[in-house]
Amino acid sequence: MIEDDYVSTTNPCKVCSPLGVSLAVKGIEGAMSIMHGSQGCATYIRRYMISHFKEPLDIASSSFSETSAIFGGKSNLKSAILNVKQKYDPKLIAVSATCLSETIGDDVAAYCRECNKEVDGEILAITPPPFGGAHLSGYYAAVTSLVKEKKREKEKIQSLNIFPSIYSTADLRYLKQLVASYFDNFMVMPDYSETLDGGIWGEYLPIAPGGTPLKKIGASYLADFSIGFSPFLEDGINPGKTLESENGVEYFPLRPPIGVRGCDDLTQLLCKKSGNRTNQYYLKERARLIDAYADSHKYTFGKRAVVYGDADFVAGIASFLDEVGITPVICACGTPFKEFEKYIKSCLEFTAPEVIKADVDFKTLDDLLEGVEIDLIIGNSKGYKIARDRDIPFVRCGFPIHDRIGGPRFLHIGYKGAMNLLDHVTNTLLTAKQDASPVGYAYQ
Amino acid sequence: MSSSLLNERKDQVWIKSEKEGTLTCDKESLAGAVSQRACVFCGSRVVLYPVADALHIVHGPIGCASFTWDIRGSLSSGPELHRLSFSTDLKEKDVVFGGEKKLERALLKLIEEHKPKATFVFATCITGIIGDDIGAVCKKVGLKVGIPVIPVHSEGFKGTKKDGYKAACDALAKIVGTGDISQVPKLSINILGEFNLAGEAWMIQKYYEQMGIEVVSILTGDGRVEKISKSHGASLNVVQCSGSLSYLAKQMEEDYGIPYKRVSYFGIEDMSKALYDVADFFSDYPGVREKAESVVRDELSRIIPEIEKYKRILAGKRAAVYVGGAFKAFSLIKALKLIGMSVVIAGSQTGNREDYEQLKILSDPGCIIVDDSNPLELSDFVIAKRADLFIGGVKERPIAFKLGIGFCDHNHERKIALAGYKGMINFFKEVHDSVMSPVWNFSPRKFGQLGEIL
Ligand code: SF4
Repeated sequence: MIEDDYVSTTNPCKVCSPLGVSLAVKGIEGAMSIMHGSQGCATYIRRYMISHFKEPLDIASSSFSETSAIFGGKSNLKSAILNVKQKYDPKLIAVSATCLSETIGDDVAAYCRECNKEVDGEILAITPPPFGGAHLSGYYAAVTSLVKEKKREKEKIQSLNIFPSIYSTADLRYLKQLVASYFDNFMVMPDYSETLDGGIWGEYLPIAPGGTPLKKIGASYLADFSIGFSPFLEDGINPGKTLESENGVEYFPLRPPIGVRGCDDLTQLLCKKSGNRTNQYYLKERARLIDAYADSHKYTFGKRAVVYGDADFVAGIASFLDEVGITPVICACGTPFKEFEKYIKSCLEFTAPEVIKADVDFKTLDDLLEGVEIDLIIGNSKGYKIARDRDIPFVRCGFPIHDRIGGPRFLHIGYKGAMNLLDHVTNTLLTAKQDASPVGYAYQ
Repeated sequence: MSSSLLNERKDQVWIKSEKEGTLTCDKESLAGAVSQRACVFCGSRVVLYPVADALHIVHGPIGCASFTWDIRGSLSSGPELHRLSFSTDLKEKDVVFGGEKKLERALLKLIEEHKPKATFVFATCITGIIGDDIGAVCKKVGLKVGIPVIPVHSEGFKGTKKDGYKAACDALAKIVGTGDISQVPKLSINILGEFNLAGEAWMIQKYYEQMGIEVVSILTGDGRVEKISKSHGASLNVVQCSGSLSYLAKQMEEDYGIPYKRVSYFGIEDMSKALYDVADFFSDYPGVREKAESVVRDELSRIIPEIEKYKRILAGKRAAVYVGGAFKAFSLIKALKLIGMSVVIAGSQTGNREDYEQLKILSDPGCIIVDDSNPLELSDFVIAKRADLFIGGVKERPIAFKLGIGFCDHNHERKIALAGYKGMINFFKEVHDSVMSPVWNFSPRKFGQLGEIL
């Protein structure tokens, strides 16, 4: 196993789970995160996400000192909560454990319960899987904790709950628009499409407007059904499954809605559940996409790609590539995702990867590339070095994009997202071909 | 003054000519205050990062390493080992049973593979808590592989970023003094606290070389272990960046009798002073001062017309400065004055008492001086003072943009050289392009109240 021939992680393809937690919390209306641990983690997480989203990301820390590390961080957490309350006045404070508070065994949940009695507004503890997890698992852990722990609403508000993966803000907006054409009331959670992609404010708002309404989270247990896009997600951090087993809310684990098939799965389900409301707008969008598939098939067919990043993202992109005849030769995710291989295979029909590997770092990925013929690399901007060193055309998408503008509003999902991906991928291949041509050419 | 100011923080804010007394600083960050500061580990990582032929491994959970992978703009003229991120990626099992074995194995393999000239092992919060004896592992591995394997005591929670600087200096001190200095000339210096962001160290080094002075070692910009090992042969340490390497300068004065001078390479005045101070130190050597004067003259004649151009456009604009170290703030204030801009907010994450006293002297009446601030305070100050420009780091950038004003990056991640004479022009161009961009005409603040356009 990995443990035995362990060397070290070289150039990690993941970040820690508390980052995933704070990202999820950013998608909740009026919420504020506190990282229960040292100041550094919160600051680093902010810095990392600011580089991607280019938006304010205020995350508080309980700012451990040496004494709190030895005697426990209870009093620090309490003053953090009071100070955050005073300055940010959030409707919900989500407290996440960090590696440090986990290691010293602080009972964050108990501290929060205690503070809940004294402070007005809700304080929820989130227990991410800190060690061995990654940002994606932290993200799902947060969503699951929130639907489980949020104070319950009495009345049913929405027909369905949608639990997206770590998507771009454009993806979330698309998803909401699509679902809205079938259902009047639904919940997408978390929804950072506005909180992390809003307009200029003019004054600094302590908490960005937007996010999943708290009421809906509290009423999620009353919905008719839920949809999630990570079919092989582990039980403890699976919000859809949790609502199903604990509250009988029917759960549909769909494949990522990236590419025609993924989006078809989603629209078909929505159509069926809403009483066959077909939607002309999306049908036309789908038709245009298939037309574009035809226009570009000669440039894509038979090409060989590497895809890496978060498990869900890789599965979705691989599924899309498979549709246009590009073989995802190497599929790698940084997340320690046990069912990754099964997941990838379940998304492919026409092509077969040579390597499918979870829990990789970029060193491993680079080694895997040795001697393999590759036309294209698709993934977050952290693969830039490999792409540059090996001179392989590179399409940046996923999380994080630190070296480009527009990363967070790259549209991947739905018919329109597939169109966007298709154009990027095909044009990248065309550019490479054009650049390599001794004469250059003006017509394709 | 400000609704966003927490009571406990009132003493950390001071307004010139309104408030008597001193500013409180050197405090731990207040819990829940959303401080812009990082941790001890961060301080060490910043200082040691540019040593390009050393292996830097983070002993801890994956976050600490991920967050610091290749984020600095420090260039190397040769090896690039510093730009890779190595970590022991501690898991639950390691936390229970200890991570020493894992660290040892990782070190042996990585050293064999990358053949570094030295290795730095960074402690993090977790290693601090589980009590791994990093020192013992380093010693053991060092003996086996025959290169310095140096523990860096940078446990995140054991203080502030400043303590991290100290830990880094302690680590560097273990290399200083180990090399052969028989070939080092008397007319020589080390440059401390210069990290070669966007090639700045090369520029500075050239100025000194034009004065006939050899630069033995730059700590740590474009750093090499061998050069550091010989640095005790130099006659003078020139310390740029107040906080980070003054510990090492003091240490070297004690251990090797090398005096040091504090300088800054930002701004014309400070840059020129940095050359003259060194020239004066070597006043026994004929011609050094003259050469310094000629360097300054040449450079100035080239840039003065440029400066005049920017002054015509930018005079009267107002800037907010919030940076890591206070020394940088001093230089920025002086530089901005040169083009007729005023500084209305000046603050730092890690200033000490002397630093803030100096800031008070340098600043204009009404200027807000602040220690260890946060987004809510900073944005309140910017609005109250009607700043046109914010100068800070990545975390301050979205604050400026949300308020609809220009922003300049002045931290370790920037890719533009801002030091030296040429850097000054780069800086003014950056300020100009940020303040004068037409995009701000579309921002709500230009319309008065936000409500009017919504
Ligand atoms: S775990 Fe500690 S050392 Fe690592 S980033 Fe967080 S605060 Fe810094």
